[in-house]
Amino acid sequence: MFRSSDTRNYAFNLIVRKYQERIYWHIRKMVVQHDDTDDVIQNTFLKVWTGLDGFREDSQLFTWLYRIATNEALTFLKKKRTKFFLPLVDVEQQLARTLESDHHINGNELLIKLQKAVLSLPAKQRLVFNMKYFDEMKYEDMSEVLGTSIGALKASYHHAVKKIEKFMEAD
Amino acid sequence: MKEIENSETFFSAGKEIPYKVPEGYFDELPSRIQQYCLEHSGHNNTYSIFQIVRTQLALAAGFIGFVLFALAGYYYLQPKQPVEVLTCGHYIDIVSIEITDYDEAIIQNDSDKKLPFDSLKHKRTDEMIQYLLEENLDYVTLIEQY
Repeated sequence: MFRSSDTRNYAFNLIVRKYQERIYWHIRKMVVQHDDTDDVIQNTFLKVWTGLDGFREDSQLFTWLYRIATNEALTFLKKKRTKFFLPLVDVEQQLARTLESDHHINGNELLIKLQKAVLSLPAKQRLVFNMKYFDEMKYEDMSEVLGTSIGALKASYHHAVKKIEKFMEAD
Repeated sequence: MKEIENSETFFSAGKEIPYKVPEGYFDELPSRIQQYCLEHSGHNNTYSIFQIVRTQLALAAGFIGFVLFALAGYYYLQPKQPVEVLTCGHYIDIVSIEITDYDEAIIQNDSDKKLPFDSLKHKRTDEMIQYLLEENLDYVTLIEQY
C-alpha cells in the first residue's frame, strides 16, 4: 500500500498509529526524558517516511522500525555526549538524576531504582536488556534489529542481569 | 530467563516503567509526525550546490591554510645569513689590493692550470740540449743532468 503514491500517506498514517506507542517506549527507555523522546520519535518516523520506498519486505516492518528507532536513540545519546563534551557514562549519570526531577516520571522507589540500575549499563547492553526484559522480544528478532548474533545477545543479557542485581542489592 | 524469574530483585520490581506521557500525547502524535515529515522531507530535496560541497570546500581551505602556515613557519625559522651590502668603500678596497697581497704559491698554481704547456720553458730546454749536443757532451752526462 505504501508503494503507491496515492495511498502512501494513508499507509504511513496507519504505521504511525499502530507502532507509535511501542516505538515511543523503546526510545523513552533509552533517552529517559519525554521531550528528547518526542524529538527522537519524530526523526525516527521521518526516516521511515523517506525510507519507505527502499524498505525490503524480506524483514518484518516492526523490526525495521525498531532498528531505525534504536539507531536514532543511539545517535541522539552520542550527540548529547559530544554537545556537552561528556564521556558516555556522564550522560547516563545525568539521565539517572533526571529520574528524580522530571515531572513526567512517576513511580515507586523500586521502579526508579531499577531504571537507575538499567542506566548504569553501557548503551548497547541497556538496549539488549530493555528489549528482552521489558519488551519480551525474541532473541531472533533482537538479532535482526541489532545486527548481533544470538549467542552474543544471550551473553550480553546475562551480564546485564548480573550487573543490575548487584546494583539493586548494593544499597 | 529462568534466573530472572527466580530472582527476588526482579520479581519485586516487576516490568513496569516509571515514565508517563502528557495526557492525549498519543492522540495528536500521528498528525504532528505527518506535519513534521511533510515539512522536512520537502526541505531535504532542495540542497544547494554550496551545501553539498560545503564540507569538501572547508577541508580544502583548511589544507591550503595549513600548507601556507607551514611554509611561512619554515621560512621564518630558517637561519638568516647577513647580507653584506657593497658600498663604495668596498670597491676601493678591492681595486687597491696589490699583487704582493696575494700568496705567491696560489698565483703560480693558478697560472700553471691556465697554461698547461709552458712553450717558453720547453723551448729553452730544447735549445739547451741542442747546445750541449753541439758541444759534444756525452749522453750519460746529459741523461744524468735531465
